[in-house]
Order: sequence, then structure tokens, then C-alpha cells
Amino acid sequence: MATRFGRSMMKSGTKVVAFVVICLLVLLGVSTPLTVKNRDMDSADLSKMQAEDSIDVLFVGPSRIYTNINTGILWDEWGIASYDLAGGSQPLWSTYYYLKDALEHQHPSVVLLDVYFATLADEYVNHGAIVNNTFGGLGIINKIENKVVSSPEADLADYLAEFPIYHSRYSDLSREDFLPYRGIKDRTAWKGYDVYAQCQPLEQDPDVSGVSATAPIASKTLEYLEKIIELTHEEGVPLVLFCAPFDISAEQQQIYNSVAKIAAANGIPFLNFNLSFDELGVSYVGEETDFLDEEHLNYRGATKLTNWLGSWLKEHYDIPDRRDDVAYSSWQVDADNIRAQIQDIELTKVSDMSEWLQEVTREPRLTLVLIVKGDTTGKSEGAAADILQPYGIDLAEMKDGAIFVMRDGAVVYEASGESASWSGEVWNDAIVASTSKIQFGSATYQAPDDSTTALLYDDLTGRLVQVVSWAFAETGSGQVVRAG
Amino acid sequence: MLFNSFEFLLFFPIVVCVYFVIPRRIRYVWLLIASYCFYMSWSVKYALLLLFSTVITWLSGLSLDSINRTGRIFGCGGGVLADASLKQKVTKRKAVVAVSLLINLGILAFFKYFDFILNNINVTLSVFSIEPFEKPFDLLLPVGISFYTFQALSYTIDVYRGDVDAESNLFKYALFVSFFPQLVAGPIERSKNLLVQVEHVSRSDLWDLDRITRGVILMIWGYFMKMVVADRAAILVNVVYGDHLIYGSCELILATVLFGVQIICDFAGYSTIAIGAAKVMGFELMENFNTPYLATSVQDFWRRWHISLSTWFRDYLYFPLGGSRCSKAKHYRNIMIVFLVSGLWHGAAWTFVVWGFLHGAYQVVGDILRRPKNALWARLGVRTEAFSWILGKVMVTFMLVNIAWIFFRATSLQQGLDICWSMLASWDPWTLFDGSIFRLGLSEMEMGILVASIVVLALIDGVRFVKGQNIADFLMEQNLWFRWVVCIGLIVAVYVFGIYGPSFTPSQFIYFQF
Repeated sequence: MATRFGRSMMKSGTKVVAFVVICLLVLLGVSTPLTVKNRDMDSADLSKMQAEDSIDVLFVGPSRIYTNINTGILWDEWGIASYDLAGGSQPLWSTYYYLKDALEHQHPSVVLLDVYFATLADEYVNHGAIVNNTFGGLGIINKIENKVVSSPEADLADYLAEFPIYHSRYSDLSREDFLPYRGIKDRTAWKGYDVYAQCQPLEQDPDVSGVSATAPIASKTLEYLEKIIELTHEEGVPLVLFCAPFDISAEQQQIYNSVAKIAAANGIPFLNFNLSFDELGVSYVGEETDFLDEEHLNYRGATKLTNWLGSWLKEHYDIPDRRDDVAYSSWQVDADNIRAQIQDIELTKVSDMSEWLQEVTREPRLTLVLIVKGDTTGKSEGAAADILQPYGIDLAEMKDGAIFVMRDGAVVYEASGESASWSGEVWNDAIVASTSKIQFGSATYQAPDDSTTALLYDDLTGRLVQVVSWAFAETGSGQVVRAG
Repeated sequence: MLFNSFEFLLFFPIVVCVYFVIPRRIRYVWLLIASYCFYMSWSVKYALLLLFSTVITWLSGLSLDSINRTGRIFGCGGGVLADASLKQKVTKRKAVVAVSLLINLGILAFFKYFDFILNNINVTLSVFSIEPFEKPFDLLLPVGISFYTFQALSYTIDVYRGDVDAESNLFKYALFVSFFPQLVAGPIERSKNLLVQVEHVSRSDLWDLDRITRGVILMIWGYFMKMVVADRAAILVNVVYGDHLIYGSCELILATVLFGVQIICDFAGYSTIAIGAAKVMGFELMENFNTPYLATSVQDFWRRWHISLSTWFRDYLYFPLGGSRCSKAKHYRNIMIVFLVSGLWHGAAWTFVVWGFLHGAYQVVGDILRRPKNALWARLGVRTEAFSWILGKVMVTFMLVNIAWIFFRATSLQQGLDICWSMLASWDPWTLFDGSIFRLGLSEMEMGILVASIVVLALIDGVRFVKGQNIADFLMEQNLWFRWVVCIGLIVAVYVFGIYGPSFTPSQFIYFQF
């Protein structure tokens, strides 16, 4: 009877355990597309995927790190294996835990901390920033401690469990949520830098050179700044504090003056680039400024800052050149990707069709889909026809439109007539062209009448570069075509 | 702590695990400690009030029992002496009940109606331009006071009536009053059901996977009703009722109907979780809802809605007033008294009184018209047993109940009347088709989820109506794989579509305000 009872208990227990396990697996499967995914999560998650002790220079801090520090330039120019470990609006307490976690697997030659948020006086940052800076892939203990410090007590349970935050994302789900790293090509090789092209002009550059007073740093922020200093000291990793240039106010400079004192007291270099606009050559003034907005540099400004920092780092620290080391191939992939993105941005500024085509056809990584819409019979002379002739495209015969696909300067596909069409698979997407429109993924671009419309796709970065159109008679000025 | 909170999701498994592990004879002590911890998570000082009410009614039971026994010693045989002793006994017993009622209802009235009474006095005084009284203090209504007071009083009355013996063990009695699954929002249990079970669980081997599974299924279903249906419907209801003057007939009707959905799912959801949690621990609580929106009359509605409250009023107010065993006029008077008191029980506001009045009036008018109606249907040859006729009755009852819900939900009489008027006067059916309904707080997707979840609810209620089985009993008859698919499906639905987390304002159960 006892054996029968024991067997019965075992059977019951097995059923319960099996149900719980299956239920948890289903919930895990359901959670995967729902979890928060953005570049901030990628930064933390991918930092853990770097090989042990592979990062030579580690940049930490808020979003200014991933807009301002071009890891590709550091690699291309000096072979420096760097990583931008950052989060949007990341307060210093989260930076501390990010750094602590990173130093469990990395022993960089130097750590650079952007102290922008030394000015933070609040106990807690906003909800979105808490999520972005505590949900990333830290080790379990560091993750929990980060959440405890970052979350108001009333909300701590939600942030610890995470699913109360992201379960309602079902209404925002897109295809990207079901693809690894949101379908971004070569994301596993990414070292944290994102290319930003926008420009924010101001009437003048800030000048805080005359600000010598100090202002107190808020207690919680100060506590974690000191903990970061202590941590790097304990780990035997040199620390550099810096503040990238931005539209700084006198009050903020007073805080950084306090930071300078702390740095000096601890024998730590502090590079305040807000006092070095001229030296860096960055400016808010003009049409093509170096700034993305009031706080961040764009890719132009990032190039200048990174070049300065790269030289300075090589001069002051013993950082190996890893360019010949095959174990560091991912840094090469990252650098190639960044370079391509910047070149693509420069390409989009070329308005003249002839010049544009010359630039595009020089790059083997670019796929060009051209659609000619309108009756071009007899138009063998004229701007568009002349420009396309050297590529073996004769517009004179194209009465009802045509489609051309070009790769590496050569036409690889052509079709004419009303019913002409083409489709091609690209990274995680498809391009479908007819003589009146081009579809890229779920976006549709309508070709204007009597025009040549071009869709440019970068096979290396896996991104759409631009869709631009030139009227037959006006090839000097391309018009960007928006998805509609 | 709310049932739909992390704290409860931690609290309950811990309580249950310890409950099954400790010796049987001290299970009730553990549950008593857990119940008071549960209540004190709201307020420690109001737990003292709960304790006070418990002690008073326990002592009243002991006093009644003592009086009974005293009479038995001396009351043997007949004669003048025996009659006088009996009269004395009856007087003393009545006095004990009166004291218990006075104290407990006095506490309830003080906390619940002090502000209401003061406000109404001040309104009256202002009519005569007399300076109003100032409010001397702020009173917070202790959570669940209406429920546990009624539950405790039912024990006093049951002992008085001889329906149950007095409980000599204070701790067992205290557990009856404070049993955490049903403490703050019912079902309002009777001592002859719950107190007896306290004794039973102290002696029995409670490990029964079948019973525990049924309990867990009920809890999952309760969470689905509350978090997926009720709290989602509440979003639209709050938007429309929060700014009722800008909305027309269709939006107001939609919001009122959805309030009907909200309140049943909120309240029945809570009750279902309570019943499920109790079942896990070996307690069988009374059913509190039985497909009320399938009622064929308002009278039938009250046999299906908040059954524990309606039977309490029936047994302790309606029957003592005479019930229906009196003249028609007194019968109708009794109905109106019960429903006016029920309205006031639900809240200290005139809107609740109107709500109660309407339900009472529906039944009185329904009774007055019953014979002429039946005669008319017979004359017209209406087939009153046909499905179409019954469906019509269900729909009319649903409409009458929803009209009353307007006042239950409205924040003032004026708002209730405005809404009634707007429903008739601002008729614009195009709002149902031009996308306006997706701008009332619920997007198209959210509305779709709400509709789908109501369909699921209707299916389960349909099974209940046809087979008389709740979801747990129904699923336990099915094959394992089906049971698991349904349970996991419901869990996933709550996990993904539940209204919880920082995106949503955490919503308490509606009946907590009572």
C-alpha cells in the first residue's frame, strides 16, 4: 500500500512538474518577441559576447558614447580594439554596474568614462531610461543590484520581473522582434558605435572657458562616480574621465569643474572637450555642423573627436595594434560596416545624377535598381539619356518604361515595357520593382512620371541607402522619394 | 495586498506549502496568522477593528450559548416559573443579539456613512442658509468591513436561531471571520458552512491533487476574468464616464454595457480566485455568481448575482420582515427595504440608493404586472416556453440591469440622469462605424482582444448554463492534453494581455470600496 501510495505521489509529482516546465517553456517562447529590443540592450548583450580579455579600450557612459566614439576609426587608424558600452540617459549608478560586469571578463588597457551625467541631480531617471539601462545582459547579481539602485521602491518588483514592463508590447510587435538582433546585418560584430548623419545648427558655439566656479555634484551621482574610480583602481585598470563637446551651460561647466577636482585628487586625467571646440575643430555653426543635437556629435564630429582621442590614447597608453590578429576579425567587420555607412551618407548628398552614378557604380557593395517611367522614345539626346548611355542603357527604345539592375558598375538585369518587373532577395528583405514603383520590404516608393528613379541598397551593411528620382530633363537635382 | 499583485503571488504559495507541511491540528492557527498578515498589508490599525468585531461576535455566541444552557438547568418541567425563566432567557438572548448588531453595525455605519450623513445634513442646512458642520476628521473606509461585518453578524444570528452551536475556540472563530481568500470581498460565508470546515481541515488529510488542480484552474480563470476582461473594459468605461457630456448615445451605451461586463468579471473574478484559493487548501466556499446575465427576470438575476449577499439579506432581513408571507403591500414594502438597504450597503451615495431602488422597483412592478402580462400572452397565443421568448426575456432583463448600472457607476445623480438623457437624445449610429469607438481608450487591437475574451467568457458561461459545471469541473472531465492546452492558454492570455505593469494604472477590485 505504501508502494502504491508512493507510486501515486510520484505520478502526481511528475504531472505537476511536467505542467510547470511546459508552461514555463511556453511563456519563455512567448516572451522572446515581446522583450525590449534596442541598441541599448544590444550594447550590454554583445559586450558579454566579446572574447575574454579582448577589449583593449572600453568606453562607458550614456548615449554620447555610441554617437561620439567611432570604434571603426580607432581600428582603421591604430588597430585599437575598442568597445562602446553605453545606454541612453545612463546615470552613473548604471554605468558603475555595466563597468563592474564588463571587468569580470575584460581587462582593458584603459577605460574612458564620459562624465556628462555628473550633472544629474535626480534620484531616478525616467522609466524608459531605467528599462534601457537595467534590462541589458549583465550578470544576474550585477543586474539585480543595478535594478535595486535604479528603481523607485514602488516599482522595483516590476523592473525585477521585467515582464510587467514588456508584456504589453504585443501591440507594437513587428517583424524585427522575431529576427535575431532585429535583423541588423553583422550585428554580432558591432562594437557599439552608431552612425548619425543629422545636423543641429546653433547661432554660436558655447564658450565656458571663463567659468571657474564649482558646483556640488548630487550625492547619489557622486557616490557612484567615486565607486567607479575605486573599482578601476581595485581592478588595476587605468581610468580616464572625459566630457565630449555639447551645447554646455555655465551651470553644467561648474559641475565639471568639480569633476576635474575629483579627477586631480585621484590622479586621473580629465579631458573636458567643452574647453576645446577649436582644438577639436567642431562647431555648431553653419549648414553642415558636427552636432546631431544639443548633446551629441554626429558622424563628422565623432570622426574629429575619435581621431583626437585615438592619437592621445596611443601616446599615453600601451595599446596593442590588433590588425594582424585573426582573432580580432570582428573589429575589421565592424570598421568596414561603419566606413560603408559613412560613405553611403556622403553619397546621399550628391544631387547630380551623373556624379551620383559614377560614385555608386564604383562600389561593388552597392546594388542599384533603376526604373525609368515615361515615354522616352526619341529621347536619345537629353540629360538622362546621355548619362545612362555609358552604362549600356539606351533610353530611346524605352517606350513604356524599363527596369535596370546594376551591380559593380554593370547592368545585370534589364526589362522594358509596362509589365516589366524584377524582384531580388536582400538581407532579411526583398526588393520588388515595376515600371511605376519600387517596393522594399513593406515600404512602397512611387516613381514620379517622366523620371529615372533609383533605389540604392548596400549589400555590406544590409541597409537601404536612399531612393532618389531625377526628371528626364533635370538631372542636376535629384529628389528624395519617400515611402508612401 | 491585491490578488493581482506580486505580493500575493509570493504570499499564497508560501502559505499553501507551509499549510500542507505542518501538523493538521495547527493548520487553522497558521491560516489565522496568514489571514491577519494578509489584512495588515492594507492597514495594521484596521486589523484591530477586525479583531474587535471578531471578539464581540464570538462573545455574543458564547453568551447566547450560556443563556441557553442556564435555561436548560432550571427550565425543566412546566409551570409559571418555567414560563418566566423562558421569557427572561428570550429577553436576554435578544439583548445579546441587539448589542452585537448595534456595535458591529454601528462601527460599519460610522466608517461607511459618517461622511454621507454629514454631507446630507450640510446640504439641508445650506438650503436654510445655516452654517454647515465642519468635518472633524478624515475617515478611511477599512477594506472589507462590509463583508466581514455581515459574516460575523450572520454567526450571531445563526447561534441565536440555533442553526449552529457557539464556537468556543476563539482562534477557530477568528479564522472563520478573517479567512483571507474571502475576507475583503466575499463570498460572505455562513458559519454552518465555513466554521464547520475549519474543524474539518484540522483533522483531515488534505492532499488531493484533483481538488488542488480544480482550485488552481479556478484561480487561473478568475485572473483571466479580472485582468484580461474586467480591467480592459474599465479603460473604455473610465474614459467615457470620465467625460460623459462629450459623448453621444452609442458611446454611452457601449460604455454602460462594458461596465456591466467589467463589474461581473471584476467581482466574479475575485470570487472565483477566492473560491479557487480556498479549494486548494481544502475549503469549499459558496458559489457567488451563476451566469447572472442569462437571467430571465430581475428576480432571477438576484438568484444568480452576488448570491452570498442576496441570500444574507433574504435570511436576515427579508424573512424577518415577513418576506412574501404577508399582504401584497407589505411584501412590496419588504422588497423595497431590502433593495434600498442593499443599495446603501454598496456605497454611501445617493447613486447607490437609486440603483437599489431601481432593482426593487423592477421586481415590484414585475410582480404587479405578472398576472395581466400572462393573461395577455395567453390571449395572444405567445409561446412562452419557446427559445425566442426566453431570449427576449434575457435581453430585456439585461437591458434593465444595465440601466441600473448607469447609476451604480455614475459619480453623481446628475451624471446618471445626464447619461440617461444623452442615451435617448444624442443618437448617432455612425459613431459605431466611423472608427470613433477606437478612440475611447481602446485601440482596434485592444477592442479585438476584449471582444475575443468576452467570447471566451461566453463559452465558459455557456458550458455552465447548459451543463451546470464550472470551468474546473468541466476541464477535469476532459483529457489531460486538452486541460493543459486550455490552462496554459489562459495563463499565456493573462501574461500577455493582462492589464498590469507600469503601462497601466493598477486597478483594484471594484468591490473593495465596500
